[in-house]
Amino acid sequence: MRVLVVEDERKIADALKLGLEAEGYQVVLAATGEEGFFCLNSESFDLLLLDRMLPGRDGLEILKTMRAKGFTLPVLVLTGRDTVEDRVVGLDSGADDYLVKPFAFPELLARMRLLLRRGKPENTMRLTLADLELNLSTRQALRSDQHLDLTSREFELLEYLLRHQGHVVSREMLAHDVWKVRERSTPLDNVIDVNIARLRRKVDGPFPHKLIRTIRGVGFMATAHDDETAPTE
Amino acid sequence: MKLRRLSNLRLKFTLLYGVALIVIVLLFSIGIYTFVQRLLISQIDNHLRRDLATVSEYLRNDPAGLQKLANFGAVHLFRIRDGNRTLITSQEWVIAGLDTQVSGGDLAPSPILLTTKNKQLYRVQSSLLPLQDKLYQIVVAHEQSNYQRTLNTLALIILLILPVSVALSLVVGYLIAGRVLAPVAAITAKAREINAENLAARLPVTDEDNEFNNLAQVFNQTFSRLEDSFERLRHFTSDASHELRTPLTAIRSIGEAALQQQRITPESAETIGSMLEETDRLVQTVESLLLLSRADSHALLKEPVEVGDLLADVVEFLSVLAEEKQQQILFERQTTLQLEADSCMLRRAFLNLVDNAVKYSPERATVTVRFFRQQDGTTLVEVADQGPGIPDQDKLRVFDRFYRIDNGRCREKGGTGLGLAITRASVEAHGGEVSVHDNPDGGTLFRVRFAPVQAEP
Repeated sequence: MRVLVVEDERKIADALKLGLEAEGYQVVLAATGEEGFFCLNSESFDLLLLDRMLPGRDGLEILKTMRAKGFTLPVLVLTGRDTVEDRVVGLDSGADDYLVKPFAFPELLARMRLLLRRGKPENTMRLTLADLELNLSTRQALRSDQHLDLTSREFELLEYLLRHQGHVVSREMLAHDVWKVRERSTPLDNVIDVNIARLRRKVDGPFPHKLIRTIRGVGFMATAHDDETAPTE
Repeated sequence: MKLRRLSNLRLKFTLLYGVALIVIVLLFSIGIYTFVQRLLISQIDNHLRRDLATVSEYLRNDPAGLQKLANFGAVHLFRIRDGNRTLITSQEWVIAGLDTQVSGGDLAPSPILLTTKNKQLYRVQSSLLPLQDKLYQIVVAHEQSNYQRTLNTLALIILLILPVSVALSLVVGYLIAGRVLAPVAAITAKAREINAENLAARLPVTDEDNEFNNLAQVFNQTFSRLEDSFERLRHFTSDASHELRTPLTAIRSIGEAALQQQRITPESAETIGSMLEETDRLVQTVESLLLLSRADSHALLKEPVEVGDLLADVVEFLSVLAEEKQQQILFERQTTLQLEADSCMLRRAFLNLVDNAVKYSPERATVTVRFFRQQDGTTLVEVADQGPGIPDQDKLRVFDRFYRIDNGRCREKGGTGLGLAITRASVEAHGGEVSVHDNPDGGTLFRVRFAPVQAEP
């Protein structure tokens, strides 16, 4: 998978390259809109990560020009501004998704996966991880054929973790996608932590092989692997 | 309000003006009266001296002519005595009835005033004239009633003119004060139109060099500065969000990318993780500050919100935290309130209150959330906990930004120190008020008030 990153902040660009390459992406960096546009014209990419605020031509201008020229690749816009108007303007200009700085890396990865998978059918009736099995139509959770008694919130949480299995899920992602709350706050973090702790008691408590792991400072991950680091794609 | 104060000022001006005028006119009148009185009396006294001289002349040189003088002479009122014997008395003296009034010995050489039986006023002067071993006493008199009448007329005129002129001056003064104060009223009206939403307007200034133009110019300069700082504040919010987000993004991305490296040791992962946690706290503080500045500038994303739904949501949301402490959250939903509100911001306000109540109540306690309407139509949301309560000296300050009652304990429980500040800013941005009280059952009670809703169309 080839990703073009147009970002003028050197350190962010470098960190993105490092992190994305660790995930198995091929990354090309461009520091200005013109440079990015040149790269798009000369090479082919699967995804564009575009900073909204760029020196010279604004990110949105690049986006409009590029869509006008017939480029259809998915575009994820990174922005320092977070107002509804900004969101609307961004999506109207042809962005496929929108991520507000400072974003969590796991969320960036999740959104990228989503954009790259777009259009491909997905088997969503059953999710499994090792001996854990989620039936999405009956909303039943089984581990080693034992029934797990989960609240609906815990089920949604587990479903989300399993959908992103092998990848870190940040608190922001859980807040947005499971609790449907846009703004983060300390009480919300506590609620997430408590729910994770309860889920862990029910899913992992009686079993020697732990499936839900905390990645300190980043978030949580559902994985069947025992090693500390996340597997790459 | 201000207009009334202004017209009070006008009244005050007028009254001061009137009082000053009354004092001046009074002094002036008294002066004129005294002057005229003195003038008249000195005229009479001159007359008396002349008469004395005339009578003395006759007595000395032409005693025979005295009788003629007494009957129809140039001196109307005189009497001459020689010891105790009256020598000669003018006819008019007798007619006037002065004879019985003026005795012999009690006459001083300076003029005195006498009233006769028929209420006539006379001014009387005497002098002693030694002549040929004899001592003659000459008394002359002059009628004063006429002069007194003149003076009385003068006094009457003054007394009549005084109130009329004062009344007139009050009217004129009121009009003048109105004219003088008119620019103040104009400036006040214009200045009231200029507020946070409309800071670009300016007071009218003419070329004339007067106090009001100067005042208006000073006001305009202040408005300009105010507009500048508001503008800068608005820019600051978006600039600051960008400037702070960029480095925070870099820190996060670098840290998170490092954690994904295969070669990383568990110790390094621990260090980076701990740094990322602090970064996350910083991110939340920045977000909270931005939320606060949004609430301060009342930049709300309004949509119809039912406050009861919002509260139910918050209670449901936090019930998991209460369960962890075997607490119970009681939600008494007794009314409804439809608001045009920023649901995110308002939810945050209640979230912080209920979260605090759960946090500071002991295990197995009950947190009560009451949502009800009072007789006067105000809607209240009360959040009562069973915690240790808030000391009175801290009650006023709990809503301050970054204020913590007990530093160590609060930070241990997490949070940015902005929770209640956000609650207040958010509630106030929605036209409500928040206050803190002692819970009658022990603990603390936070009360959010919303004024009665206007009659719905």
